[in-house]
Amino acid sequence: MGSQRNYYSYGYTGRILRVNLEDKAAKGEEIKEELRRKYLGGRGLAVKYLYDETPPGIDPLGEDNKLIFMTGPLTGAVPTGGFCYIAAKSPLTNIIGGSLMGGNFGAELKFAGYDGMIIEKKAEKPVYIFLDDGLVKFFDASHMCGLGVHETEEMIKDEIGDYDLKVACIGPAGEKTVRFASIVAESVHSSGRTGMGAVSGSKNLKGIAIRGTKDVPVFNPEGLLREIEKTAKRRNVFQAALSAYGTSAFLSLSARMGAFPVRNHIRSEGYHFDEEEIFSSIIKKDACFACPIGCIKVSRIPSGRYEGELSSSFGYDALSSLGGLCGCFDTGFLMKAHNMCNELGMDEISAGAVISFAMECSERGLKFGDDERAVEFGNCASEIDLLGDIANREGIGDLLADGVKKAAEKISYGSEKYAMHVKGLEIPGYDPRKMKKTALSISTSNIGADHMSSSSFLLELGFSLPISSYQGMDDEKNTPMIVKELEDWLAMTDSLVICRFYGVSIDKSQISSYLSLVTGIELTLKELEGIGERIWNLERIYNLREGLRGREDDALPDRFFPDDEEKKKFDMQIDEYYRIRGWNDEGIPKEEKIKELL
Amino acid sequence: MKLYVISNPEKCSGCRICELVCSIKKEGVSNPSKGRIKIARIYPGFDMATACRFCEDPPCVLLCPRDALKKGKNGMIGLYKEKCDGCGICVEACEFGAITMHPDEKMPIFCDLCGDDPECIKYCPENALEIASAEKIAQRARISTFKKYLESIPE
Repeated sequence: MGSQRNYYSYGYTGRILRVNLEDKAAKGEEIKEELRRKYLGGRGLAVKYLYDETPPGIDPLGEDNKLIFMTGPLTGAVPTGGFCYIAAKSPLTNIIGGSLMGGNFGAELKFAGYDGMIIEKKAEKPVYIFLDDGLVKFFDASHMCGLGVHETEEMIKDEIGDYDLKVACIGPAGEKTVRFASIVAESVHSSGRTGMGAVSGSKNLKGIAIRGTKDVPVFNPEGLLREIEKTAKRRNVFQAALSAYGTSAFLSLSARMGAFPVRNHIRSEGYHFDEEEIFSSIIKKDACFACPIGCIKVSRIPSGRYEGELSSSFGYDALSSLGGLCGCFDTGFLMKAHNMCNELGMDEISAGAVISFAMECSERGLKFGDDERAVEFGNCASEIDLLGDIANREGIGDLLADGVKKAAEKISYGSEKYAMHVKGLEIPGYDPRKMKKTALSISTSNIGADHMSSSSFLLELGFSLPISSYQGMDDEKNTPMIVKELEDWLAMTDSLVICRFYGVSIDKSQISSYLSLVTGIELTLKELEGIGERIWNLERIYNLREGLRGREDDALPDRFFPDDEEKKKFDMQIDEYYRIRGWNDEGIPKEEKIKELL
Repeated sequence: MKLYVISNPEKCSGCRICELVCSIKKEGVSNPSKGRIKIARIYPGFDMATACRFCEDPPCVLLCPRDALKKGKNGMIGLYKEKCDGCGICVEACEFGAITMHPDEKMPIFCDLCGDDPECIKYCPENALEIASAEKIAQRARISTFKKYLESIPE
């Protein structure tokens, strides 16, 4: 039956698949038990492999980068257990890159017999991989170049002759190594930030298809059923909002705080959307593996040039980044723009941010070479054209495809002032001036300006989350502790791997219950928090190794500090954050902290 | 009246919790391939689950060359494992795709309503699953169409 501390018998398969694209070879490999004891799986394990197996200073788009897909002990067995974590050195930021990928792909990888997949080297010509219940086959994908992700998925399913395959692939953006290109699972689950799609494109890997029919053995099947039943048919306020409206539910919440940013974060204001139109365009919901929330909305474009076209997972990111930041408030256009980002395979937050950067530069008279096209705030049609150009690296799209930081460096002429990013990752649609926890969160996230790393923005929007011990205490004094706790907890749930929306909205004790029911492993909340802290510090050390400057990079663009008073307050929060984390004034983990954790 | 598990495609989110709990309940492991209920998904997000409908004159029973399948008194399909050799013609015969092959045993698996208390229905977050008869669905349709007519009559 296996002892309680045996990490091999339940939940895990115990093996990863190492794929060499140059040799077109794949081999199974055991995961050392010590690694799983310390890092659990998913994000923790992926980052650990990356840290151990790649030397400092590699080119993220070069052969030495590794593209890692990693599942965790809960994958395939619990609600939202279809996720996997994707990690590699990011071509956008040159530090750790990583993103959760939703749907069913991760579960299928485990059903195929592996906890993870490490993709190495580069294929001579475009290929796709088919993992068939443990057996790996490589197929030519040259005829798929230029195809969108859905077209690619359909073609792969046709060629292999199996419509239940779970496919994750890149679109033209990934092929052209647009630095914020995404990998998209099952045509609709975009993963997401930091350019994992570009890494795949640089390796000539067009896609991965998986079919798995193996068991995930469960330690206590009856107990697991009872535990799943607890959240299957009940929703709290947060889950109910997502269930009904998706992340569009956040729109009125951020707008009423005056935290909905417009025009490249020049300011924030209310919004000009017809919320009724957005909500009534929803036809039904779609959900990831066993998820009781179902935050994905299937909608029909309600009006305008693209009326009638269907869309999946339209929500806040499209409304804020493709919408508000670009001064575009036409729902019909935004749903089309969102569809394009999905199909072309690129991160809509970064895409919207880089276009809004171009719009501000244009309005301030900075020219982009010979391109005479009107790039101005509010020009929805040109935004749609630009999305296509970015994905194909045409015209100024080629410049913008490298992200705001690199684009500003190329243009110079002071355009760096208008590049809204932290560590090279573009800032999402929440105003850090109004949302202090988010300000600290996007400054300290290990992948750059990512609001989801702590998801503290949800607290600021007014949701009560079971996982934060600071409920209703809104004084800024507690902000560093709140953010740190959330960051560590989610680093751990990203390693189990479950969805963040599910992970933030269920009791912490349920997470440890799931873990013990599926795997038989008993871990206290303190131990789970400790694992999260370990993972966070490992990412920090990786980043420092890759040239992160510590405190200097844990910073927001000047635009967000209208006066010295605000800057001082922010600096004090960073001081306190470092103190809580056991880091020195420069944001470098102290010796004792490293010894304690790593 | 013959009862079976029905899925409402207007409500089904394609989450597959039914597949998951079916496999845990029937097989003690997490493996949707061993579930007796399966979803079908059409891009960009239309979903519906299918389980055995206990046909009056089941094509699967009819076509089995070894008479390994029978229709029991309670209407459900039964399998004589010792007669089955996994040819799969029953899987092909079902127009609903409600039968699949067990990945290990290589024999057909299909819904048996967990006896009389289907597990899947208890977990569906959208209440898209119910145990019903075709006649019940028809009754609902008659009532709702009539209601719409009544509501459309001007005061």
